[in-house]
Amino acid sequence: MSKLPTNTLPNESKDGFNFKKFINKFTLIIVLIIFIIIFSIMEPAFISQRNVFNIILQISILSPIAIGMTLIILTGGIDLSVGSVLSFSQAVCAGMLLGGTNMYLCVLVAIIIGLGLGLANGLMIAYLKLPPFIATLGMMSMARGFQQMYTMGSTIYNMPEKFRYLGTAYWLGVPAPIFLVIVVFIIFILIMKYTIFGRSVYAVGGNPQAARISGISVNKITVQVYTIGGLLVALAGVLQLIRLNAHESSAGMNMELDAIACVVIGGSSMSGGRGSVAMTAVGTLIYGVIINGLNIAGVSPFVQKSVIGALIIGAVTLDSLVRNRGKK
Amino acid sequence: MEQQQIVLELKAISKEFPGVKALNDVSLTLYQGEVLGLVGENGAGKSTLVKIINGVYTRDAGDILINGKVVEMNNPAEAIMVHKIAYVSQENTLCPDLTVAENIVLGQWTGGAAINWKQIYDFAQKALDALGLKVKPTDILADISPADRQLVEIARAVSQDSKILLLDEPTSWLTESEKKYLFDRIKHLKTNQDVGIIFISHFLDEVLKICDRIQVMREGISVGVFPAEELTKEMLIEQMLGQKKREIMYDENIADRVKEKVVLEVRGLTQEGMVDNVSFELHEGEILGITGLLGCGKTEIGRMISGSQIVDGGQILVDGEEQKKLTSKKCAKLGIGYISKDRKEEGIIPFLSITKNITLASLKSALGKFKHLSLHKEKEIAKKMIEVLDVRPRDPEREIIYLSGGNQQKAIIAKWIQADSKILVIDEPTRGIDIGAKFEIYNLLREQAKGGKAVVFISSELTEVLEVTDRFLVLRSGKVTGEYTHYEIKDEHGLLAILSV
Repeated sequence: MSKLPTNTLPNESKDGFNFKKFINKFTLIIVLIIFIIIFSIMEPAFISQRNVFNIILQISILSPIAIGMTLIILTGGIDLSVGSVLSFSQAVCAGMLLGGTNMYLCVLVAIIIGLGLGLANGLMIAYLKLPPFIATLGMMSMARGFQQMYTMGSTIYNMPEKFRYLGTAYWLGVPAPIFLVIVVFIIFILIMKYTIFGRSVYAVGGNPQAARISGISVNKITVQVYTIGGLLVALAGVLQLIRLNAHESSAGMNMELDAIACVVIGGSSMSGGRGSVAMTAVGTLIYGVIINGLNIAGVSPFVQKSVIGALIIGAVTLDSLVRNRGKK
Repeated sequence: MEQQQIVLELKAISKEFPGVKALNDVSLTLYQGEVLGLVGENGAGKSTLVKIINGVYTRDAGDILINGKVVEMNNPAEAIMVHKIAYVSQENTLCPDLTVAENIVLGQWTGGAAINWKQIYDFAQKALDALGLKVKPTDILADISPADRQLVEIARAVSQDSKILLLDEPTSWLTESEKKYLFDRIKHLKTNQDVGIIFISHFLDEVLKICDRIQVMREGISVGVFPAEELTKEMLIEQMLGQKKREIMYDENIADRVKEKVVLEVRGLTQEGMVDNVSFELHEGEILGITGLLGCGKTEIGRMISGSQIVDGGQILVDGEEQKKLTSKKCAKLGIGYISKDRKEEGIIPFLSITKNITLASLKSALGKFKHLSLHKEKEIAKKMIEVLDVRPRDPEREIIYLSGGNQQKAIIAKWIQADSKILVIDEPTRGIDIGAKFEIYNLLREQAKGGKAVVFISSELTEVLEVTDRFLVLRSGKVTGEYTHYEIKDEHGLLAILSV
């Protein structure tokens, strides 16, 4: 008889157990606060109202993508195609807008593209049994190819006035996109906590065999998370189009890495089953705070990339150390 | 008998795992050129002992001596490369994607940085010839039959020029003629090459045939070593089982509980290589046992009737209606709950709470006003289950992975009770579970049966098969060889005798 897990357990006493959970949840927030304090000291303007708005605006496009990525990573998968899908759906939306099409129709088409490509990812992974890395890697190239074919590499700019409303609107003195970010986060925090779908995602990621035996359709859940991911990516693309007033050929480039960074910094496990949208929210905030803070401190964008990289490694290492305490 | 040299000696070996003392002061002597049989029930410690010899486990206390010298034996590499101990087991220790030749030389090739393939293939061919194996060195391991794979493992062990060969259940997958080959090879090895061989097997007739001496283990201790020629099967069984304390009693009142109605019927169930034309009926209120030794197909039957395994032939009827292409989802809807013997791989969602594990198969019943998942309702459901089944610790929010095996099992059973299952298919219900929790689970299943549910009780633990089930089927090589009750087979000795045929 060999496979008993007990010799790798952390302290089992009730007090010790609660303490550890407490530390895990609040470590992230403490880290966030520390960074805020550091940057505020370096540059007092950091915590001005204007800059706080700036930070949240800067992460407003990344947020929906990070949320979708969280669901996907919770099932133990990954989506490398988000940047490319964003670029293609955004390109078509922009092209149609320029051609005078009704703006709601343009947005709808973008959403359908996102849903469609997300669905394709999900089907490949669930039914063709392709590893998520491979399937979405392929989609990444395909979607980028579609975008290039559609735009011929050119920028599409000068969007209609009506369309740009959301980009510059202020509601209750707060930029509109900030409300959107908060609303989308809240919606998905609620979905993951209070719906059968959300619970099933956790079950599939935690132990797909046990989930299947309990009557959950693992394939269906898999297809659903990638499809939802595609939807959120399309929405992010539309939001970006509104804010930038242009579709650039390089739209979405490397965005998948930033999205994964937010999820990982937020502490979700890459092997699935552990993490939450709420934690990703904090992770995304930390990401935004660091980028913004380094900007204000005058640090070059190149160094910023290395800092984010170091943060990802640090976050995963910390998580791994805590998890593997006591194992050989 | 002339005095042979002692090639391996174990002195007072002890090994403890959390919650269970697997080996308690066990000693063993293996002579050059002998075959030493190692027998005992499941959990007696045979595999553990052999894994300690092989460096897979480290002993807590005691010494290992090879050729009279004390050795460390900290890891398998040391066992293989330094002491040339060859080990063949049930578990797949080879690489399915590599060729037969590569697998044979795995871990022991010292030919330098550049690979001389001709040398390797010649070496492999010699090893295969020594066993009379027909497979080619260039065959991919995954492509050859399971029996041949087993023989390749043995060829690999034989090719290592080892003086100590450990065989852990080597004949489970072999046909009669393949077994004959194996025994011939074993005889050759011991007579002509002075190899000391430890032979673990549940098949007592084989053990009596091939071994020179037989060592019996029971509950972590060594009961004794006997010359094979002085033993009969009955004597062996007696030594293996000792005096069984009977604490769980057979339910004499099954007539009240077991109804006429057939809730599950299986006709001619077949799965290629594993299950052969099995038929049985399960009645409402009944606890039907299915037992047999390693490889008999009982696990596969359990998986087939609960949608976890493809059915090659035969019919499954639930409440009289035939069900084709069963899936787990369909079974859950039909009210069939499956509790796998691999709790960790297929039973629990490790980092979800006890509550979330308990409600997993019945989430619809925890919905609140707005069709949302009511965490409050869920907690009430879980609390009740935890109370009734006495799951410890009584903390609904605790992640289930931190519970002991017994409590995890209770939670998994709770999941299906909560889902209102009519049929519970449970495989090795009390494996790795302490005695107190064992009884709780037996009582739990009996309660369910009294309440009109039916249980398919798949187990290799003799006592529970005899005492907890109403009647049981014995399986061997995928076929049903008999149906018995506690009345026909009075005790564990009788059952073991039938199983070890």
